[in-house]
Amino acid sequence: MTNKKILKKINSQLWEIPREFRSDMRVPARIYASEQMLEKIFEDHSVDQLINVATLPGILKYALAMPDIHEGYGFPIGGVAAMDAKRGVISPGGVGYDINCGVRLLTSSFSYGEIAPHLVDLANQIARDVPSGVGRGGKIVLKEKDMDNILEGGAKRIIAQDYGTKDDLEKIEEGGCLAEADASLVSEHAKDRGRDQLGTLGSGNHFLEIQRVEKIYLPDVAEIFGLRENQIAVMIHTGSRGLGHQVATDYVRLMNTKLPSWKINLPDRELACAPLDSDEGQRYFKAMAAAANFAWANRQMITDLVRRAWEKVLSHKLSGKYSLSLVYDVAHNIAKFEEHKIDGKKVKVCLHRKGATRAFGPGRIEVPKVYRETGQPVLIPGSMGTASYVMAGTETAMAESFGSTCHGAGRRMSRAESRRRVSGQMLKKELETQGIIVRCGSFSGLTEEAPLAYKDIDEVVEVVHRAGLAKKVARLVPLAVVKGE
Amino acid sequence: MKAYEILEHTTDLKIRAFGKTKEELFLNMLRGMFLGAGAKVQNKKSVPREIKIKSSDEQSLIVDFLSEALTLSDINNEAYLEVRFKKLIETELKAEIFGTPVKNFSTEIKAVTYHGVEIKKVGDHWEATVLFDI
Repeated sequence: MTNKKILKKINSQLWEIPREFRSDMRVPARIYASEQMLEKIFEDHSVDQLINVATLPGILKYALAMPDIHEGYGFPIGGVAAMDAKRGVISPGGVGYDINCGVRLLTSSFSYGEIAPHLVDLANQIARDVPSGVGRGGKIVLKEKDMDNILEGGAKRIIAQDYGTKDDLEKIEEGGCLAEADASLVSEHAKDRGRDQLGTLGSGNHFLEIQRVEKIYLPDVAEIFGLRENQIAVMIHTGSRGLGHQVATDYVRLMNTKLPSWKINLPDRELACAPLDSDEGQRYFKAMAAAANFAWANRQMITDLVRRAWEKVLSHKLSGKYSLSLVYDVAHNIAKFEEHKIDGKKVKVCLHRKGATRAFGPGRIEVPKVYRETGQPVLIPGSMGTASYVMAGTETAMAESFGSTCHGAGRRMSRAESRRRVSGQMLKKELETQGIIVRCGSFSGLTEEAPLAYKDIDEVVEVVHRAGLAKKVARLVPLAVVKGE
Repeated sequence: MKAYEILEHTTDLKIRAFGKTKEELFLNMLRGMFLGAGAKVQNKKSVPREIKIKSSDEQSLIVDFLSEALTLSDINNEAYLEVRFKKLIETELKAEIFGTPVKNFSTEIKAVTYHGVEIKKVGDHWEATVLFDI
């Protein structure tokens, strides 16, 4: 395992492993982190994994790690890599098994004081109406044609069926649909896994929270994002469920068998990849895009369920607007074709973000018009029971990190150790003492996601804020957590 | 000799399984995966499911075998704790795996990974290590 002596300091938030460190590296590797965080980062294999990413064919400029970096499989989580769109590769390991795992934030017109008496009812209703937990399906079972339509139409398709508004669609990364998606390249196994999973939260670190906007850092930007102090918000964190897992599994398997024919030698089989100009590379991209669309449709469907629960609980109790408005929806496990400036030239790249969030700055056409002057909203969920952040993308991110930033707190302790250290009942009690309502399928699920199992979200966010990769706009704290087992 | 053990890993589930024969090794790893995921099985009759796998090498074969079982588990809401092997050679297997309906799982396994997969003969028995993404 490597240690921090291999690092060259660029500045107090940025460290580099020079290309010369290992003979097979094609570019340097860079890590955004504070000096205090470095010790922990080197406790697992994540830096070795980052170095492995720097060896991939067609990688440009450098392999990047965000401060929430931790060990994954193949790529580390918190990793960013730009591959030359013509000569580079695409790797399912650079996206992750949970394709388009992501976050969306909804805001309410109500303030904390108005909602506080109804929080328990809201948490209960949402927990009843949004299916969560392993293998728990939703009410809709997609037939073949419907499934293909969702895979190729994403949130756009779901909204056309009245599960949302036109305004929602404008506030989803990529408009909630990657046009390159091809449903015929998604296996029957994958479709079968996803058939009853639309509108389901899943389990693990996925959650749904009712939050309070605790602090505003940039009032002008917050106003454009529709955020104000003490406002109530809802955050949804989930992805493409079993369907996405299967797409990744299918293509890692396929690429592993083909690597010798492309003469690609890899230090880790989970880095399995295919040249972007190969049939397999193109097929994976289009299948991954379909899974990404499924995830956007999933988060849209959950939004609809939450809105209905919201109205059910509040319509007889409060007068005013019950609507929940979408601030934004971001993907943090995805590969996309983007244009970035490298050495002064515009270059088309296949950008891999695995546990990293797009943070496009002002002026980019990919950002909805309403946010084009501020930079896109960047949603950084905390671990259960801790704060989450809304940030804004920056020009520095465009110049330094291919328009990318961190995605969350980042795990630092194994689930087993977390279970050993924390009692589920005690944790629930502790969270409730802090005024956080918890609706979780099981105590073990709760302990595995205990706050002490994660890095400090405030510290992670501070690093990207200081590095200029995203600016802090608002800090939100949880009032109710709904999650599966 | 124990059937399997769960090893420490920051984010994922790592299992080492043991077996006197390769068949027993595959079976114990399969059980380790479903019991490691906290399968709560129902008291119902098991359902046989036919599987056929061809892989490029032995390491891939165990990963692909477990992946297939995981996929069937997600689709049919079953846990597979028994196997009848019809063929098991280095790069190919044919088997019936028996699915017991499950009430739920405490942990969702997203995928079986090739990351650091190991399969080897140690003295008179077989050992394999597999990492699962959870």
